[in-house]
Amino acid sequence: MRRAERRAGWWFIGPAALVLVLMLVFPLGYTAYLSFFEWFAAGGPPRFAGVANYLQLAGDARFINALVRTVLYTVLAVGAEVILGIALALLFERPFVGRGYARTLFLLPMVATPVAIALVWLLMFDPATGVLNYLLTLLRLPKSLWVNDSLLAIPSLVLVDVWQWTPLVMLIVLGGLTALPREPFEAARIDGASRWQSFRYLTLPMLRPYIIVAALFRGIDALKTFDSIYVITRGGPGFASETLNLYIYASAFDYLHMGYSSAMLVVFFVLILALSAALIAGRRRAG
Amino acid sequence: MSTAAQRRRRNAVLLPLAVVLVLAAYLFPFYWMVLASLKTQIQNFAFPPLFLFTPTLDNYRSVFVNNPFVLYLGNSLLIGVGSTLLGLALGLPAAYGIARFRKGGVALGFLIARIAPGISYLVPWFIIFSELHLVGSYTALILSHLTVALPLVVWIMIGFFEDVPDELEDAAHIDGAGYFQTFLMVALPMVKPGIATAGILSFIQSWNTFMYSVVLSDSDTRTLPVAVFGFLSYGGFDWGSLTAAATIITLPVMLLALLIQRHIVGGLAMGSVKG
Amino acid sequence: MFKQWLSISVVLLACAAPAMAQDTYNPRKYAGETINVALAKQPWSDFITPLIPQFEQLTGIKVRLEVLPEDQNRQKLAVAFASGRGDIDVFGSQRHQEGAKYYAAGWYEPLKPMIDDRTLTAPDFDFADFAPQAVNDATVGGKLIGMPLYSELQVLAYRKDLLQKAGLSVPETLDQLEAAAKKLTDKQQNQYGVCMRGKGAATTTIYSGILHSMGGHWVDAKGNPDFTSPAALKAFEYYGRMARDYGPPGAANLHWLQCQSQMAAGHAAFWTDSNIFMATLLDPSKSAVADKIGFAMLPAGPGGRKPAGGGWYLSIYSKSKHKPAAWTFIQWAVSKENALKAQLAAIPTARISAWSSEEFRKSDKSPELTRATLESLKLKDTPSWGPPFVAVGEIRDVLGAVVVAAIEGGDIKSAAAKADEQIQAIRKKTEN
Repeated sequence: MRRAERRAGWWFIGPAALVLVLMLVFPLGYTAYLSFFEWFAAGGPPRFAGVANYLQLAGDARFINALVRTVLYTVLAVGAEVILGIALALLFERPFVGRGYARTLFLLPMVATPVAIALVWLLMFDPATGVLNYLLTLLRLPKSLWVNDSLLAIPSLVLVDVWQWTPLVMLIVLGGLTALPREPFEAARIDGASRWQSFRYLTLPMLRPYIIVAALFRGIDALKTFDSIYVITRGGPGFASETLNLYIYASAFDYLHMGYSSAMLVVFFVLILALSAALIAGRRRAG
Repeated sequence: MSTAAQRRRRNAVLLPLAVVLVLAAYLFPFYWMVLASLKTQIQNFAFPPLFLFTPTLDNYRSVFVNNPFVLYLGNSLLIGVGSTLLGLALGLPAAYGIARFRKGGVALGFLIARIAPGISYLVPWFIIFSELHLVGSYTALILSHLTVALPLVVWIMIGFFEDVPDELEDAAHIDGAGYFQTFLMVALPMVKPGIATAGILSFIQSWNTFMYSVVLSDSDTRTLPVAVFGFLSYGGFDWGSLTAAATIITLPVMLLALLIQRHIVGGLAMGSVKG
Repeated sequence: MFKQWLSISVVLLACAAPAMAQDTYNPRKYAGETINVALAKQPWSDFITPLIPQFEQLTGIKVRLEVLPEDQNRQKLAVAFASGRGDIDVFGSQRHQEGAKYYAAGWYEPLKPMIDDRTLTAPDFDFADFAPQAVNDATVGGKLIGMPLYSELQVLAYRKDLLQKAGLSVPETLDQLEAAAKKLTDKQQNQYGVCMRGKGAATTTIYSGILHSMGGHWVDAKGNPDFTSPAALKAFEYYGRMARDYGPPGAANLHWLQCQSQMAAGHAAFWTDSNIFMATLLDPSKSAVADKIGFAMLPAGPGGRKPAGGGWYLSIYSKSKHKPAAWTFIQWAVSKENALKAQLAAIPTARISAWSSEEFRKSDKSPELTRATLESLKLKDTPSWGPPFVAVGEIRDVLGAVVVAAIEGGDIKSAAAKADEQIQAIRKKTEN
């Protein structure tokens, strides 16, 4: 590329790159740097501590539990979203009256302010007067404690996540479905394959890259979920729904352990990168 | 065994029915939100829950009377528009630069930045902004929201700029136009739909942002999501006011989304929705 | 000659008068300044908010008041102080929550020097009028860190009519309380024997009274937590049983406000919590059972009667740039006049004069609550709402998880042992 072009390129990218470095790269580096210090913000200045924070993390039961819960939440949420998303995409594949409008309406859960919609779910989850329990009683099922029960807290939160983000998976997969070539399906029908067979051996494999992209984006965001969990349970009952993001937030802004929370952030970041790398590698293999 | 025609007729009825059912289940929380906002406190605690009742607008009144809600609305607007405009001003040239001059490294940088959890920025930002006495200022808030808008704009617009045919640009060069002129006169007009999409999506993201605002704002610069969370004192749950506030907050972004719904699909496929 | 002398004296006196005025308290000395006041939402903040324009008129000092829910206020203060922002002047704090932490960080401005300074303090302030217990609780490391707003402690509220109908007398022991709660529970009818806080850290406030009544302590002789002691385990089990078997569903979501609602709606027979939340139960516009509520001291356990206590204080931030103006506000807020007004508004203040005044005695709508409070104040060695550690917030979260485990019927012994470990780890990081 000619030098003039290259220089011009930097002028275009410069300002944005500057913001990127100042506001994002530098703070990330600072966080990593802070992770090697012991700093209780109500105690005194930071003190160098080497890898002490990381060693402490390894033995911190609350941290390990939060990590496990985060992975559990992500697997449950993304798993359900992928399955439901594919099913919904199939539903929308063939044209029918009002398909455009219906598809549009499916966007709404994704753009609604997470904090606001989480509050509505909180209302619906109320064990005594909530409408969800009312629906359960209509189906002759016992009332549930939903987010007030240690065991049900995470699944209930997963329900909220699935409600909000399945449309995203649906839209991505739908995009893939409409891009699929016709010929293989024609050929399969001529060969006498059933609908299920053609779905399983043709559709699914061809959709794999799209599914993986959807799982990648949802996976990263599910790991980082904050707003809805913070508003609905704040990590409770006890710590039953405390994911890593919540624990880090409490550690930094409630307990003022700046160094320790930074170490947790580094571990968290590595976890997310690992998941992304795994999914990207999977996509490459799927072609 | 049903014939193809029979199956097609059955599907013509079942399919829309299934869709309607799924849609109803999906939109139920919105329906419930609006319903609850029209009920009195006692009605909100009724069990079985009330579907039919005399509605009241008292909650909406109280939201504005008992809180500086107009201030919060103004703040969310100011910060949303500010960060979006800045995001476009910086992101459009950047996306063009990446598409035209192939600076993939920067694009990768934005991708990695988007992957990191928000708190990893919050702690250093908070420390630095404290030193500069900027905590609670619009500057801090707009800058933090900018870090959401910028990657969004860049990622959406790269594809749009790549679609601008090379020949048009080459023609402009031959006519003597410089790089920036070409960008301004040739490329930008061709990507207008992209700009609208990116701009509106950025605004929606800023409007919805909670974590950054809760730490970096003070009572004068509080935004809507933080304010509505504040309604939740211990759970002195005034559900009526809460859901009224929730309705007021979500309505604008939903309307905006409907405006650009065609393009959101494309934008979302590029993973631009922040978590 | 005498007349001349007189006029000279008058002139001299007139000149001296302003000079003398400098030596006395002048509420308008700081007119024109603005102070920021951060309070947590509670009965006293509701009381003082409409009176603030009076203060502004009286002194010319402008007040920017922000009232937030307790958790949010605490976090906002912690974050603001840790970042060294000097723009908070007056704040409400609790010794058992952030007292030790803020004191260790040097964020409190000691108030005694200002009280003793005649130019800063009104002559009728009368510091001795404050209940010694309240003042004691507001003193950390020998320094007075805030002016007490309440005489706050744990009491028991009960439904007189329900007890009467079942032929029960007011429980004097925790065992009697449990038996009574059991008898008065009918879950099918939405009737619960007792309402216990269940929301994580919030439970530890109520747990304190039960722990100490069972003979337990926040710390052992060496100053270390000992939540695996038999008394502590018994207290966990008791708390868990009461909440689970005789309390409303969704215990994990219950804070004082929900229990207050349950009680006021008539669904609960007993409720033990701070006395400052009880007045609402007697308000016919807010309570369906306003005329049926009685009050008693916290029942005794094997360790005696040990209701927990400890109040809220108005403190000055040590880095405030308007300390005298802030002090002017505080002394006005807790003045004899305002304390009496508060007392008449059913707030249990910390001033003895308010409690013993004629007006209060005549208008006291809740003599039973007053008696329960005053009797409890006479008890010796009553515990604090929270443990004496610096990182109280984090430690209360850890402890709260054990209570929640008890409520859900989990393995309390191992949860308590783990909590002991975690608490020690936290202390190592935050106390030196």
